[in-house]
Amino acid sequence: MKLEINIIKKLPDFTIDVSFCCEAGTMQIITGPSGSGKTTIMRILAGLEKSDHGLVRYNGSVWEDTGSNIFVAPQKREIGYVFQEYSLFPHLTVKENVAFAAKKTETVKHYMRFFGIDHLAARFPKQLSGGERQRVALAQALAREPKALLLDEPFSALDYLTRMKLRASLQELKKSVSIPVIHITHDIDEGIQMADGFLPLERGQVSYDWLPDIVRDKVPGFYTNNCGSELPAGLPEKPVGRFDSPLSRLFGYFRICST
Amino acid sequence: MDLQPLYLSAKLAFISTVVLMLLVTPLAYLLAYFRFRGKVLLDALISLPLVLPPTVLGFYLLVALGPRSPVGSGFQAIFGMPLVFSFAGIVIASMLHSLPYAAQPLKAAFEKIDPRLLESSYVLGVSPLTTFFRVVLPNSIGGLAAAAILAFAHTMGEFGVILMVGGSIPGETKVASIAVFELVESLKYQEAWKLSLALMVISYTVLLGVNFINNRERT
Repeated sequence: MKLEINIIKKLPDFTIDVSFCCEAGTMQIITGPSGSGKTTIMRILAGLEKSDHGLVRYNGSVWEDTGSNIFVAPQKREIGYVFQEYSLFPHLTVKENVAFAAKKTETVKHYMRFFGIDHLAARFPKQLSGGERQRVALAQALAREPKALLLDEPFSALDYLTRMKLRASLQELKKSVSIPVIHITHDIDEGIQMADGFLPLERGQVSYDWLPDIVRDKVPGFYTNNCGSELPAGLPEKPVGRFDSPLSRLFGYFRICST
Repeated sequence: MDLQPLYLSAKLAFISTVVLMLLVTPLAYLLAYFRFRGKVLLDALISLPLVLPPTVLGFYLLVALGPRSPVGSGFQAIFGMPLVFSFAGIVIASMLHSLPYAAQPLKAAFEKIDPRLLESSYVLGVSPLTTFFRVVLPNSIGGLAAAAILAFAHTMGEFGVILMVGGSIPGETKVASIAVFELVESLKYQEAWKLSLALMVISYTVLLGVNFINNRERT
């Protein structure tokens, strides 16, 4: 099982042009300065945005192929996505949040136990600390048994100790769930420690130039670009943005798009 | 005191609020979340009853629902009765007149929801329609309640539009506000006092309810 991405996406100031893959049971770290296109890549993987030109494939099945005009809506990709900022449902308790999209009750119980949030089951998100909320978000994303896990700087707002704990939990999880994990982090040390693949990004391109020397020496060889996928032919004339038309949202969130 | 006009007002307010809320919810969602050509025009059109004299709206409705109009003749062909000067006619008129009172708070409530919650639901595998029921509506309860209460209160006190479209047929279209007008015209001040007081107490209670909901939303 592997997740492959090979995309071009024009942003107002630069163009994202990346290609990488992530095998099951491994973690691909994406790091880079603020505004380098990390979150946009993640959103394209999740199906929350479209690329201008590209291919996103999971284990052979195509999630997006601009050449063939294929686009699988986010709700059909079966991914787990933990957002940078808390995105728990405020009207639901911790247990209801974790169970929101879970297929089995046992899975809910398992991840609530794994992340140590059993005792918070009846609380609402606003009654939780930052670390607790992110643990709930991780449990929620994993309880649906996703095909891939996308983490968009989930620990950036947390204190050092909580980050250490969650980092350890993730390392443990990576081995046990055996799915591709793509993790955006600002913390280069954290990235190097956790990475199986390392993607340093600057203005939408893979670049090692911005990394400090001491770090750069540690990372060569981490970045992998051996997916073998090729960019599909036929670049669309006009870039396709978010929420292009009311119809696109009405019928399955981008299922119908006006390219 | 003749309670029939008050009962008719409450019945009219209840029915038109229920139907209006069913129709206005998708409309408010459309205005809150979608970008489309003519959105500004539609938004202004919905707010038009706020500034339009009720007699003008009533006149247009009288023409649009009259027996010579496609709607009026169609209604008569199906139900064997005219739409104007009937209870069904004043329900439609009340709904149109109360449209902005229901649409605006609901739209504001939808706009307050963080779009990331919707995205979160989509990536968790939930369809946009189910997301609406599982995420959007539960997080807009305050707005929904405020919209329904305001629409109900506004219909309870409606006068001009109902008089134009429904006239004053006892038991059919003679609502409390029209009854008060007729009682004053015939110098029956004591009766007018009682009915007016009843309307005022209802309206005040309703506004208290809206304030209570708004305060609870803020805390």
